[in-house]
Amino acid sequence: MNKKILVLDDKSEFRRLTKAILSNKYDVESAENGLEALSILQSGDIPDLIVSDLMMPVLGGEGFLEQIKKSGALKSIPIIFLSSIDDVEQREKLINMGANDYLLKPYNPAELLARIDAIFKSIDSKNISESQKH
Amino acid sequence: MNKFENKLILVIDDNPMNVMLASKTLENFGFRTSSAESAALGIESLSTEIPSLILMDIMMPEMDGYEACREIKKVEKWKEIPIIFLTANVHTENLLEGFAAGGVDYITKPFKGEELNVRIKNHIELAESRSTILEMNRSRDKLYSIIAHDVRSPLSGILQTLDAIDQGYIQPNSEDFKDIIHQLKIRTKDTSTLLSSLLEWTRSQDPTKSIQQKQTNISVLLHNCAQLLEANAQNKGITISINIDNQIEAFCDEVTIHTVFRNLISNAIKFTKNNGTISIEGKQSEDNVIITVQDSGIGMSAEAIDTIFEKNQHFTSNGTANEQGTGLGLMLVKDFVKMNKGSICVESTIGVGTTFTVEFPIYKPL
Repeated sequence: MNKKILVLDDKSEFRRLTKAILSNKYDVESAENGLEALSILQSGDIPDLIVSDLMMPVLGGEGFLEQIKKSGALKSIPIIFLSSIDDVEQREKLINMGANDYLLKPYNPAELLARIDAIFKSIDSKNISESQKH
Repeated sequence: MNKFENKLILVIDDNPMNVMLASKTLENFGFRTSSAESAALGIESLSTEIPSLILMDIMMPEMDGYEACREIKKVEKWKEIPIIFLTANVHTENLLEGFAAGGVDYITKPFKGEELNVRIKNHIELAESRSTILEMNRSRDKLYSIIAHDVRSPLSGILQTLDAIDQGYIQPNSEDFKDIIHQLKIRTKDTSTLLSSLLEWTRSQDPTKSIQQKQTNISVLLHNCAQLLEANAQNKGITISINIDNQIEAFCDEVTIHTVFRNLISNAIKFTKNNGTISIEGKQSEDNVIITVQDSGIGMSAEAIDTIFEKNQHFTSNGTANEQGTGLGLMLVKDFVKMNKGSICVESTIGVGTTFTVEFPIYKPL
């Protein structure tokens, strides 16, 4: 079964584009902002990874991340940010808050896929080593 | 009447005789004056009215002139007030201390009236030019921030799409491709409109290019603007009605006024929900043409109303169909109305709608 990814972006063309790029390998769902994404998550539809824009109306990327990390059930979902804001401090802040990665827009599709792949691999190897402990 | 008439000069000196002398001299040259007999009282009086310039004695008990000057320069809203020191001695080190504290000049006592007058006028003029330049800088920053935010986004969307096609992630005949191209087209068109507005606004800031005011038929102009935006309105099922006598004219520049109404109507469409109505009405008073653009839109809060015409605010909000805004439109509207010797005001109720009222003179002012 394919892994599932949730894409957040308020700009429809970016949402569609990221969805199209990821659909080659994954099952993709999308939301226009953090609030819509939270309601998807609360309905029990839990993805294996989240790819999120930063600047969105209603609830932006940072606020969304904060909510996710507060929730026991959701805090382990890896999250990658995509943003056109090239700001080291912002990037550092998000990583400190628990984001797994940060890519600048426009991003290279192959790079995004490679980074997602790397996150999944490290989770898999962690799971294997943990199961070997028992 | 000259441009310095009624400018307020604050005289701070512990010697009442000196205060009276300076005040009388300044009043003879047409200035308004206020005075304080200690530095502390002088600083306190700044909260009542900010003067155009301060004339400050150096030797005063408790707080001296230098210290008072340093205190005033610490406060954001006071720091641009030019301060001239009145001094009995002209030792270099004292003068240097005065300049280091933030003073712009010094005048030796006993002063000559003419000299005082000329120096004060010079420094008021300098301070005013400085504030104009600061204001212009802020406008330029605003432009940069609009470009950075709003032009970059569609460009990076296009680049992103090209990359995805190039790397074979999207097939050029797929549904995804068609949808993305369609959306990029809309975004690119918006950006192109934005760039035109930017260009128009930049031109309007050039004082050498004057506008051409003449008798202009407002009814024709309004119908033309509405026609241009009809497709946008139809997309959201919005009805635009225009109610104006087709003879009504105003003394204004056709190009800039066209931009004014195009922006007001396009804003009205943006903030009105599907199947709403926009009604445009024009009527004449004795001297003015009064045009109202009323929508049944989402309305604005009192705070939003306060900020929309503010040049230094990057006020932007998305429309009811998530249309992107830049805040540049209303800035243009305000500038252009002013250039045409008109006036504009806005009334709004959240959930009910917004009405912009614009007035222009009917005839060339005498």
